[in-house]
Order: sequence, then C-alpha cells, then structure tokens
Amino acid sequence: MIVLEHASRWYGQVIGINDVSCRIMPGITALLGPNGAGKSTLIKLITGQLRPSTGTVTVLGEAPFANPRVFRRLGYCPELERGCDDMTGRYFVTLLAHMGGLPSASIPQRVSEVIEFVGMTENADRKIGGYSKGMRQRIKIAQGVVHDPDVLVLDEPLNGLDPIGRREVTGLLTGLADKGKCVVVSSHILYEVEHLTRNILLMNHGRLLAQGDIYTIRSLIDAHPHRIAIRSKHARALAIHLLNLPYVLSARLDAPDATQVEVETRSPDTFYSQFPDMVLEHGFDITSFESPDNNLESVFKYLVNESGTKATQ
Amino acid sequence: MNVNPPMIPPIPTPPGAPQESVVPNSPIADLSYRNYDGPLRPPIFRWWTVCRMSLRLLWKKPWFWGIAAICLFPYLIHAIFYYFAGSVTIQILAIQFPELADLPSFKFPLQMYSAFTGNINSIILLTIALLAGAGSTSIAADNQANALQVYLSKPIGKGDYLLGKWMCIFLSVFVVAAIPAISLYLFFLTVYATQGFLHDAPWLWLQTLAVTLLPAAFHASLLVGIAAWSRSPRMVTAIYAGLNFITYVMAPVLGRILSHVYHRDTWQNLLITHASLQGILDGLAQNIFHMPDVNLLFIRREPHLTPMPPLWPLVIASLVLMGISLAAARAKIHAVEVVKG
Amino acid sequence: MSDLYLFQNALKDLLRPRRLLLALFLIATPTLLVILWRMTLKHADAIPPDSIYNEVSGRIIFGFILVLLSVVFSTSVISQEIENKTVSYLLTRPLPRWRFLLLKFIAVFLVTTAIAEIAVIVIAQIIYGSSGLGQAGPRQDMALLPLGVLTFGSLFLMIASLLNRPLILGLMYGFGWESVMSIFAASAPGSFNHLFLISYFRALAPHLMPSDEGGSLQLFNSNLPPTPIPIWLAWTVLSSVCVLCLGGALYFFSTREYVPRDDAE
Repeated sequence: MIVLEHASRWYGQVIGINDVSCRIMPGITALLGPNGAGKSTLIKLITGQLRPSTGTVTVLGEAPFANPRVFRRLGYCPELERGCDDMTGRYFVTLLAHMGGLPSASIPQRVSEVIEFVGMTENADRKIGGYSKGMRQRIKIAQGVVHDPDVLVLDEPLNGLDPIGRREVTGLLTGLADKGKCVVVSSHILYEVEHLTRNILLMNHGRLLAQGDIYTIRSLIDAHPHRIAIRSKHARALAIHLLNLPYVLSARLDAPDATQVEVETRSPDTFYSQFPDMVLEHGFDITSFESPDNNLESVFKYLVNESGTKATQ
Repeated sequence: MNVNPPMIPPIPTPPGAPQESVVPNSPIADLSYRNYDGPLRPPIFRWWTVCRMSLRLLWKKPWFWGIAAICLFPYLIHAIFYYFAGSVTIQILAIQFPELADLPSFKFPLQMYSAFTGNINSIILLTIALLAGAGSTSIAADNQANALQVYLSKPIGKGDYLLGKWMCIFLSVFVVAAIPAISLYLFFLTVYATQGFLHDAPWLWLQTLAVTLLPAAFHASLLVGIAAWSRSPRMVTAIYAGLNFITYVMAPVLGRILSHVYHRDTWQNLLITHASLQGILDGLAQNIFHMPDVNLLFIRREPHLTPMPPLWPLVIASLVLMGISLAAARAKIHAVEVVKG
Repeated sequence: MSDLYLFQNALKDLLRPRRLLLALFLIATPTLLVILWRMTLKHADAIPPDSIYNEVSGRIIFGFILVLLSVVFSTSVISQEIENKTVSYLLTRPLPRWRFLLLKFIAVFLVTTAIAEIAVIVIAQIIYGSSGLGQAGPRQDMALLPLGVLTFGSLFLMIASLLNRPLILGLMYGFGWESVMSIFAASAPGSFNHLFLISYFRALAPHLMPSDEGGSLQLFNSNLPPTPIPIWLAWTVLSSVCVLCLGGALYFFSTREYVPRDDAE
C-alpha cells in the first residue's frame, strides 16, 4: 500500500531521511526511532506534505503530494495543532468530513458514528479548547477515519494519554487494522507499541535500521546474545549444567547462594527446545523462566546504539 | 545533602603509559556537573541573558540586515544632495524662508533632521521594531508556546525578563537608526571640517545620538506592552502597525479639519498634527534639532515653514504611553498558564 | 456542497467577534473624523464637503483601511494555518489545493469589501446627508473598492504563498512603497508614478489624490511634469495584477510545500 524506493529528503544541509526503501502493507506498522530519527519526515512524505528530494514515494499506487485521489483514501492524525480550540469536536469532524469529500447528506450520521467509535459522544458538543489531551487525540482520530480511509497515518497518537486512554486508543487502532486498513503509528512508548503490533519500522539518523517482525529482527541480531533469566532452588547446579551446553555462552549468578541464573546464548531456539529435557533429566525445580531481552526495547536500544556508535565513528 | 553517589577517582596513570578508560562502578551516570561551583554571573546580568538569546536569534538572519540596510538610503541621498547641490539649496532656502536664515546654524542639523524624519527611515525602523518585538523572539511567541513557565522557573524575575525583551527591541532599533546617522555625521565631519562644520554644529553629534535613541526606546516600550497581552505574534504586528499607520494618516487630516479653529502655526494645531505615534517621534526630533519642518527635497507649494511643536506635551505624551505600556506588560507577565474551560 | 460549507466556515472565521471589533474600529475612525468636521461647519472657512470627503477617502479608506485589511486578511489565509499548525489538515484533504485557497480568498474579498464599503456609506451619509450615495465621489469609490480589494488582496496572497513573513513584507509594501513613495511619485517627473498601484486608482478616481501632496519640484524640474496615466492603462494594469497575482498564488499554493512552523510570521 505504501512503497518508498530509495527515498531521501533533505532540508538544506540537514538530511531528514536517507535512502529509505520499504513497503508498508495492511495491518499496524509502528514507526519507531529516537528524536530526530526522521519519523516525522517520513510521515510527511507518506501523507503528501513533502516531496522526496530523490527516490519515489507511492501510496496506493500514486505519488501522494497534492494528490486528491490519494487523500480520498488516506487519513492523517497530526501530532500537534493549536487553532481549532474555538470549534466543538462535532463541528471539527464535520468540517473535515466535508473537506474529505463525503456526500453532504450522509455526513451528520457518519460524524455521529465515528464520534461514537472513538468514545466522544458525551463531549462532542463541547469546545476543543476545553478538552483534555486524551479527548483531543480521540477527536483527531475521529477526523482521520470519518471518510473511511484505507490508509491511516498517526503521528504520536499515544502521547499525553493516561494508561486507560492508551489502551482505548490501542483498541481502536487494532479494530481498524482488523478491517484490513493499513495503519502507520509513530510512537516513543515502546511497551505500548509492543502490545499494538509486532511489525515495526525502526529509524535512526534518517536511515532505516530495521523493518519487519520484531522477534524476527531480534533473532537476527547475532552479535547480541539473548539473555534468559531462570529462577530455581538449585541455581548453582543448574548453572554448572548449562555451562556444559555448547550453545550457552555464559551463566551468571549474582551471589553464591543466588536463586536466579542469567544465561547468555546465541541460539535461543535451540536452548528453548532442549532446556525442558535437561530440566526433567536432572530434576531441577524451576520457579520462573523469562527472557528480559526478547522485547522491543532491547531491539531498539541495541540497533539505535549500534548505529549511533557507527555514526560517531 | 548530596544525593549523588560519590565518584571513585580514576587510578592515576604513570607518565608515558597509555591512557586506559576507567569504567565507573556506579550504574548512574556522572552527575557531577550539577554541583557546579565555578564563578556565577552576578544577578544584574540576568536580563542580558534573555536579551542576548533574542538578539542572537534575530541578528544572525541575513534578511534582518538586508532590511536594515535600506535605512542607509535616506542618509546617502542627503549626503549626495548636500555635496552637489547643498550650498545652492541652502541659499535659496535662506532667501525663501528668512526664518531659517535667522537660526544660528541650520545647514547640517537640517540635513540630519530631514534624513531622520524621512518616511523611509521611519518605516524601516518600525519594521525592525516589529521584527524584534513581534516576531519569534517576542513575548507573544513566548505566551503562545507557554515558555514563560520555563523562563520564570529560572532564577530570573519578571523585571529581568521584561528588561531583556525590551533591550532586544531597543538595541535592534538603535543600531539600525544610529549607524547611518553616525555615518552621515562622519561624512560631514570629514568633508566639511575645515569649512566650519564643527563651529556651526558643535552639538550635532549629541543631537544625533539623542534622536536615534528616541524611536528605539519608544517602539520597545509600546511593543513590549502590546506583545505581553497577546498570544499571537501576527496580531501584535497587525495591531502595532495598524496603530502607527492609522494615527499617522489621521493626525494631518484632523489638523486640517481643525485648522479654522486653531490656525496652522498655533501650538494647538501643531500638537494635533503630531498626534500620532510617529508624529510624537518627529516632533521630539524637531525639538532636539531645534528645527522647523521644511521638506527639503520636495518643496511644498505654500511658502511656509511649519514651526516646532511644543516640547513638553510631546514629552509627557511619550512618557505616558511608554509608562502605561510597561506597566501593562509587567501586570500581564505570569508564570502560570490560565486555562479557560 | 462541500465548497459551500468550506466557504461558510471561512466566513465564520473572519466574522469572529475579535475581527468584527477590528472592523468596527476601522469604520469608526473615519466616522469620528467626519463627525468632528460637521461640528466645524458653522465656521466660515470650514473645509468644503467634497474636500473633506476626498481627504478621508484618499488617505484613510484607500490609503489605510483597504491596504491594512488586504494585508492582514489575505496573508492570514495561508500564514494563520501554518502558525496554528492546521495546515496539515488542509493539505491532506481530497480537495485540490487551489480550490481551497480560492474559497478562503473569496471569503476574505467579500468581508474586506463589505467593511470598506460600509465605511464609505457611513462617511458619505454624514458628510452629504441623505444624498450621500448620489454624489460622484462615493459612487466612484463604491465601484472601485472591489477592484482595490481584489488587486491588493491577490498581490498579498501571492506574497503569502511565496514567502515566509508575508505580513511584515506586505505592510512594508503597502505602507512603505505604496503610501510613502507615491507621495514622491505624485511630483516625480515622467512615468515614475507608473510603478505604484495607487497611481492607477488615482487615475480612475482623481478625487483620491490628497490635496497637499504633489508639491512640485519647483526648483529642479518644472519642465518635466508627471505623466498622467490613461484610464485604459489603469484598467489594464489593475486587471493584469489581479489575474497574474491570483493565478500565481493558486499555482504556487498547489505546487509548493507548506509545513507547520512556529515562526510563520
């Protein structure tokens, strides 16, 4: 649905994005990266606010810049705005529904539907200036989906939301993705993104560092061994046995009488498949078993720090 | 109480040995910068920090100096005009307007006054003031971004903040006003020093300095007052420019309407025709140069000089306007954001 | 129908209470002047009605209200959206950009013209009484004001579509180049006055020339008076400015990039 081919964009001497090639398909894709990574530039390119300096950007088969045909099927929720405070939420969504090309007769009902969809029915007739941050985000999502777009791009939709609000917005987005929409979400809140989707685009310094399923990416990072924390009454004995395994790099106990051993391995799949047999064979009593490393944050940190180190070198 | 963990000092390396990095054994990064105990700038310079930051943003933009350079043109034209035709014009003026010839020295102050009160100069100085006081460095922009909460959470007070913003506008306008004026003065000094320039106009340097300080202080005070009450730099620009221009076009019309009641040369009519923001500045400049108003390059049809307006009403008007503006700014500046429901 | 809705929204935005206050102030200003003039009518040497009308019309309505409103409202069509960061919403709608800009500009044109026309009607009624609108001066002004709004409005709209600080540049042009320089142009030799838009309006309505301007350069060039502008040239130039500037604004807005910015003005 969204295709970038060797797209670059610079602002004078500053590079916004650098030779980015990727395909974004239906479902939720999280756009991640530290500040200044190029996420906003990428979003502006996808939403047709900017043109690439080189390369191509196509959305639904067409270049999006100033293209009404693309915008009929694209919804955008920007991060910031200031000027709508005097309008009620309903009026705001209605105005943008009109601008979205919906038939005038169907707009009132459609607006009511999307306002109910985002859970703003009670507050729709209040001025946006009196809304909380979460309410503003919901109204922005409402205007983004009022014309039932096939592609929805949201810039930091979870910012400023309380945990309940984040859960609700996450639910909304998941519901849209289940309908076959292509949803692109830019966010800093990694653990929430992890609940939202496994499909990520990771950027840093204007470059695309990784794209795809987070666990697949994780498993491909050979240089960074997986850590697995295992709790057991016989942690020391367990550690001795684990060290005999060829694919275990290290086993660490924090104290001689510690009940947790932290194992490092480059072959987590092999470890996971053989560990249960080993435990049964030796009768180890395992209390808990988890991988603190197998998450988005560790992938993010590793790839971003690695690219940062290379950039400074 | 020092809440930071003590840093383990690095192992001293023998001379000549390769330097090795010492890995600190604390998981918390080095926060020793928080315990800065070096020299601190005295409080009297707090305003300068605010001023310097705003000036840096403004003065590094090439278009600012591009616009400022236009101010050179009136002075350049007067320098050329006086060099080639000055003495002839002065003689004709002296014949046409005997009142001028009675003045002890009017040649050079007349040039300086005419260049200063030229419309181009006034427009450019107003533009510079608007760029400094109603742009991205203005109080209105800080209101818009809720930056006052940040400013006033630092060890600076309202007065420091206002003074810093005021000085930004003041210095910007003063520099743009003073450089061309001083250049013209130096031109006269170098070319006419042996022809009685210093004798004829010994205080011209002081008059020039005083008159360039006028628009700087005036615009700075009024703009600070208007910007403090606004959250939109655009509106500040529109309001201040609008006030300037509406009063500037209305005052002469008002003067003409009332000229049958107060004759043209009466002090009342003179005051009315100077009843505008720019008129106050022009009237004060006239008094500083002690010069009647004669349109030097374009002689008016009626052979008539407009005398100086009275000084004290203009001084009082300018002080009142500046005082009200500054008081309004001080009353409005708050560190908190008031949210209306 | 969506065009109508957008147009209504643009009108609603322009007719907000704060903006109406500004309009009221701009209408009240010349009104107060002419009321003051009426109070002086009993004096033998009071200014005649035609003179005062010409003065107020030339200096205040055409020289100030028209220019100020055109600058502020026309530049706000684009700048306000960028400053409020709502431009992202507008530019990602399935509406051709030029159409959106045109709808907003039409709203600006109507409001600006209405304010200026109301000002003319009010001062004509006060100066001339009930026969005010039958006088030549007010009739000419009411016919000319829409052209004036269109000319200056489209010029400043194009400036806004091209440059980052259109309000200040527009003010410098409107009150610097046009107002100030036209004073010199009125007495400048030859065709110098052809460089100023206000000269063309004065060619179409000679009563707009303020009475104490145009002091001749008696000492220097009495043999080179200013070249008068023929009426056909005035219409041609003003119409061309409207068409070219409006067309240029629509073209540039359709093809250039606009992103939210804090220092839009």
